[in-house]
Amino acid sequence: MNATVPAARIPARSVLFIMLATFPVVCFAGALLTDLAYKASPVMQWSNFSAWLLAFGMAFAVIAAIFGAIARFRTRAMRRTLADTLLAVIVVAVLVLALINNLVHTRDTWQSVVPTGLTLSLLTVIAMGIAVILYLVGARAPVAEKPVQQTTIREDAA
Amino acid sequence: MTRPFRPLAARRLAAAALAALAMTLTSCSDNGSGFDRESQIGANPVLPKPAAYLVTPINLAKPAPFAKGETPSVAAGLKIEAIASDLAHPRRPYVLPNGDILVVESGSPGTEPPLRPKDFAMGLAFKYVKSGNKPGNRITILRDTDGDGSPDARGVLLDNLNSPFGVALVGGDLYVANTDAVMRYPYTAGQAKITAPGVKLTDLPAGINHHWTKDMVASPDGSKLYVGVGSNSNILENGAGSTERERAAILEVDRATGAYRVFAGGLRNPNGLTFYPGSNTLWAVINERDEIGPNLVPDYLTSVKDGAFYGWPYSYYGAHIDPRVPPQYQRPDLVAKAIAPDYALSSHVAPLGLAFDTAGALGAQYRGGAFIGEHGSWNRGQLNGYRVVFVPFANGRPSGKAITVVNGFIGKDGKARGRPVGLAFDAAGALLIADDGSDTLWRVTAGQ
Repeated sequence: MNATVPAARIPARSVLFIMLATFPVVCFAGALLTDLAYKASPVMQWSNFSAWLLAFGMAFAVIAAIFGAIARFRTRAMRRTLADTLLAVIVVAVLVLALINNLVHTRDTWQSVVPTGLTLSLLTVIAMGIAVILYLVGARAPVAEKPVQQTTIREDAA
Repeated sequence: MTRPFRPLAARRLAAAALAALAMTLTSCSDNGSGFDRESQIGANPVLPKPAAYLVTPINLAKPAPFAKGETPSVAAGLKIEAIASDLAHPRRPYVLPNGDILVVESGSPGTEPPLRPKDFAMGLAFKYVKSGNKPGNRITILRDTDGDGSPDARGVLLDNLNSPFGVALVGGDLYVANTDAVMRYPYTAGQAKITAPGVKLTDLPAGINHHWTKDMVASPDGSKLYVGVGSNSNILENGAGSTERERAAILEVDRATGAYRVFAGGLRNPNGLTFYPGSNTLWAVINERDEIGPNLVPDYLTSVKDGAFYGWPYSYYGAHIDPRVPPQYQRPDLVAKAIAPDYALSSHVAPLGLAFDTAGALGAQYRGGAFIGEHGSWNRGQLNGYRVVFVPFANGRPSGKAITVVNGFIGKDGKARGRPVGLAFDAAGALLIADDGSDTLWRVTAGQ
């Protein structure tokens, strides 16, 4: 009856998802910093860094989201928690914010960053922070009232 | 503790988010077609508010060059013929006093490194509209030996140049403005090939050469050379400071010493440098900035005053501030002295050639007026330019609306049959048009 067996949670939060999701976390947080550096300097190289960080972050975020979605659809509805669902919503929000932010960063010079790009970078980082919290909450949440299910699956596998 | 998953709620949220995104994207894709382009031709153009895009409007006319026998169309009372074809990306014709025609065949040196993801995307997009022969980096000479007005002999006058554009003959000196330097070659009338090594008169601001064409004209007394140097960016995105030093300017080069000074500044990309016939007034056509709206900023024709500042990058048409210039770089002092140019030509038309008709051989209505070669737009949904226009002049100033005199460079299928660049008048007073889209030199004469 121990509900917090991490192994049981893995299908719901794919290992691939969490590995790939580290890229956007690092890249988008980095883009916020380089955006701030551009606003302060305003040396174009910082804006260039932001554009590349956002591009790579976006590429990995999309792949991570695909694996996340696959894992989610393979998980039985009963085993999904509210935290899981909110996490999915936040992941979509991060993708949308990052896409718009990538486009804003194709503008030239000041308007590539200030004010819209910087604002979006900040919102993206906040959204990712919430996603991380939801992930941790989800990971700690009790899993199932029906451990039988797990047994059944194992029997199936065998 | 398990809460049942409610897929509908999540899907609705995602759908709403995507719909909002789609609306944001499409609401920004104004293609400029709802705007009266005529309102941006002349002395006081209508200037809409600057726009900022998620995706800047791009419409590139795919090349489909004129087939043999096909020509651009001309205004009533004019006719047009190809007098040289299969040129290697002709950019600028230049007529020598004996009637020989030089054609500068050139292209970008390709020395601007891509710095941002956008640069790679734009690079791919512009590859799509590259057409015809590889730029020759040479000057071809055309000669009419039988006097019928159409050249029948052709040779390479000068080869292995470095993205040349401007050319000027002063006495026995032929000057060529490469993208990085002004070179001088000894030249005698009738000479069909130059083998002498050139002497460098002066280096020009070079580096990445975002705008690479260095157009050039000699002062009427022959003592000075005026050289147009375009900016190294659209709007400072390649950096400020040394990257833009002595750029977006017309330089005045002393022909004796090679020393130069900035004659006028704030001219984003000046070409078509020409003195108004019989005067000491320098005129040029200027490519204004992109990615600020399909109807901003109008390119223009202007007389260029000594010491004047025309705005780039800080402002356009006087004190209209460009919001993309970082506050740290803004120069209210320069904006205050920025002067509005003489004559707007409509937005994104990309004027690259300018020639004044002195002979009036095309018809009395053209005498003294300006012909302008418009290479054509990329930064608006509805194509603009891709034509040669005529601006009437009176008392040495523009005196009326521009009219299109050579058209048909965009086919009915929307593809580019050709793209006009530099212009010149030949010895018989016919208009020569270098067309780097179909690698042709066109000649326009009076007639049906």
